[in-house]
Amino acid sequence: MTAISLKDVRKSFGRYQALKGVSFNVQEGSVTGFVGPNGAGKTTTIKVMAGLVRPDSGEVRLLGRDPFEDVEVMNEVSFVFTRLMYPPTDTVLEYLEDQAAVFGGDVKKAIEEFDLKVHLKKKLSELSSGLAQRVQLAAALLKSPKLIIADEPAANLDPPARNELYERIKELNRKGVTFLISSHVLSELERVIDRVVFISDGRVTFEGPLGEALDRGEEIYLLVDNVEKALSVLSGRDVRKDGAYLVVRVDMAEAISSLEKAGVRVLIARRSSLDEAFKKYTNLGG
Amino acid sequence: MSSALKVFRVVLKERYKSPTLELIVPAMIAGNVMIPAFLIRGGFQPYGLVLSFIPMINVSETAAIALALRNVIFVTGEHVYQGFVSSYLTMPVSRTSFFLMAMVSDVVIPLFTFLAIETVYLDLAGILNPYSSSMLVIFSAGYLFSTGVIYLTTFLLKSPGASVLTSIFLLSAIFVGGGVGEFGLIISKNLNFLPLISWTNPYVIAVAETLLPSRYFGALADALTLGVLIDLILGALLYVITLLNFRRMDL
Repeated sequence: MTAISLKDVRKSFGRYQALKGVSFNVQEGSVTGFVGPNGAGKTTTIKVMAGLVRPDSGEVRLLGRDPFEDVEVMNEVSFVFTRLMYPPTDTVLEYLEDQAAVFGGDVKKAIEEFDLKVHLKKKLSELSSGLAQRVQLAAALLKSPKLIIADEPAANLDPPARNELYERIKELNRKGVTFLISSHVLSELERVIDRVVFISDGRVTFEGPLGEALDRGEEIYLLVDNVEKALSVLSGRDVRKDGAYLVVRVDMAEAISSLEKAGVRVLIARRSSLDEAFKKYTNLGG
Repeated sequence: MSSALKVFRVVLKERYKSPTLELIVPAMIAGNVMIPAFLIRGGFQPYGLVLSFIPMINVSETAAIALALRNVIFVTGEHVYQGFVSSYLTMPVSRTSFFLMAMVSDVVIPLFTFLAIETVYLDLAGILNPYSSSMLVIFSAGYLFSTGVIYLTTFLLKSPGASVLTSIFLLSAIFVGGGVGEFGLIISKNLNFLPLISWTNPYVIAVAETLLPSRYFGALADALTLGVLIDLILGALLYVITLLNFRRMDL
């Protein structure tokens, strides 16, 4: 079943056309990455799904319902924004209680689960980015949502906080929660998503399983101990340097075998990452 | 409890956190000090009662308007400017319902609190009569018009400072300019145009009517009634325009 369905969604702000016919689906039970450069239309798309920005045309469905017409769908969908959008003079406890007053849920359990006991009297304005995100996620889960849509949830987090966030996402997904996560921290997003939607200049440029996005082009990335020797071994093939890596279009096993036969140690061998796919599908590859 | 009522409880709580009402209610009660003061000086004449209900002189009215101004600009407005409204609009509530909830919390509750306090006060003082009741109606109409102006400027300008300055300037210009115009028309006995501007400052007409009721034979009362009606209609229009603007606002 489809958790999110967008069909030809268009939105302009004055003369600026932010969304030029965005269409994609998010499968129920998936963790889908929503990836694109700044200004590509990620936040506008998420705001459209949240009912905060009304599209000029197109169709939006969350769990099969129109969020603009059937607001009750918000009982089953949670949004996590880059920063906590709630009056900053409220305390953590007030925020959680307000959410529980509307959506139900066990505040005590959420406090325990997210280890918030010592922070309850803090004002929301006093929270660090990581803690604010933890509080937001705790609030988002009070309603036991079927779908969580997160806009750059890891944007302001340090690496440990990002790890913690992604671990929680994996855990919740195992319990059946569907996620759409926009992010630009691609290397870490890659660890958690199973599908990806690329958006560039207000248009979706790729939608599908992560493996499919990464496999296209069949390029492999090799980190070797002797670049010059490796280049001579691989000469005649489609090979180029990308930072410390050699990028080559060849079967991975064959490349490793021929390099090692020539005495070149292969330190890392990997297929293209989400970063490379990002460049490819967002026209940023140069 | 329905989803809308649950959201309303949260919206209400945000505006009336302690000690908001603990400060406002005593201020509204104590603010009636001008009523006995004017009545004593005026020898319990109706115009004494009318004078004591003129905004600025009547502290209770000023407190009600101040509370509404704070609610509209510094709570609802701030939530819109800073994006906090996103959290409320991702609750199971339509924009129209949210706007009505905010309007009731911001504007209607301060008015009802004021009216309840005044009614009890006037009744206990034995002066709940047609004059004082009329002044409550006149104030209520002007209050709805004024808060309508504040709401519209808040949603259009999207800046607390600009909203405060613009709405205060606009309302003061209407109130003072209209009052001077009405005074000129009344003393020159040129009453034909009075109904047209009566909505700007009905208090001038009310004072003149209570001072010299026999001179104008009801002409001022008619203008006053029309002024109250125009205030109510303009207030309703301003709210409808603000709601339509909010419904299509990108947040």
